[in-house]
Amino acid sequence: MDDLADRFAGRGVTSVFVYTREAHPGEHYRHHTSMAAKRANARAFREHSQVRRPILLDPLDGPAHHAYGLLPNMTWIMLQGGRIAYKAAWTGAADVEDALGSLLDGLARRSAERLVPMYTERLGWRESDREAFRQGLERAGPQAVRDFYG
Amino acid sequence: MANEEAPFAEFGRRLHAGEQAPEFALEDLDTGRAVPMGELWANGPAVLEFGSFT
Repeated sequence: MDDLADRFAGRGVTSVFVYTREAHPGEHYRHHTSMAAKRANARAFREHSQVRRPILLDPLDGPAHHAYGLLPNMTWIMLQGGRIAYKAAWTGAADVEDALGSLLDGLARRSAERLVPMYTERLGWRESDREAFRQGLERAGPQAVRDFYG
Repeated sequence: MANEEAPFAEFGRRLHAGEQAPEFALEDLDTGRAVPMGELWANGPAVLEFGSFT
């Protein structure tokens, strides 16, 4: 997603990472009880993942996360002015790139070709690495593993 | 697992493409500055990925 952000930055697209509550808290990375704890986990996440996009923290009670659907790894695209152009229950970089490319292409051609936006729904694709997911749970701590696998 | 899956079912039922995005103030991790979400899409499209370390 950072590579995608870099590629589209030159086309006027702002990309950010919104840090939410912990999806699978464990002994090492716990449920946030303060903004200081949330900031600390966000910094640990950045160090581990090497995310280069700006990280913006949702407040402790998660108003943005709740309003946008409370899923652990969504991606949303907004048009200039805030109209929703794309919502995805998970983040699949190729799917986001496809949507964003199509969006910008349409915006560029709309006047000359009399294009108007239309509502669509479809199923997209994302990569699912079960081993990496399990390693993430183990990094969070034994409680995260127990909570997920029982 | 039922409770964990409920948000996924709910996700497709509200806040659709074409609608206006709700706005909240977020906190920039580096500067501590309050960033209104509207600022992200003030000058062009914005891509927001939500997530956490875990």
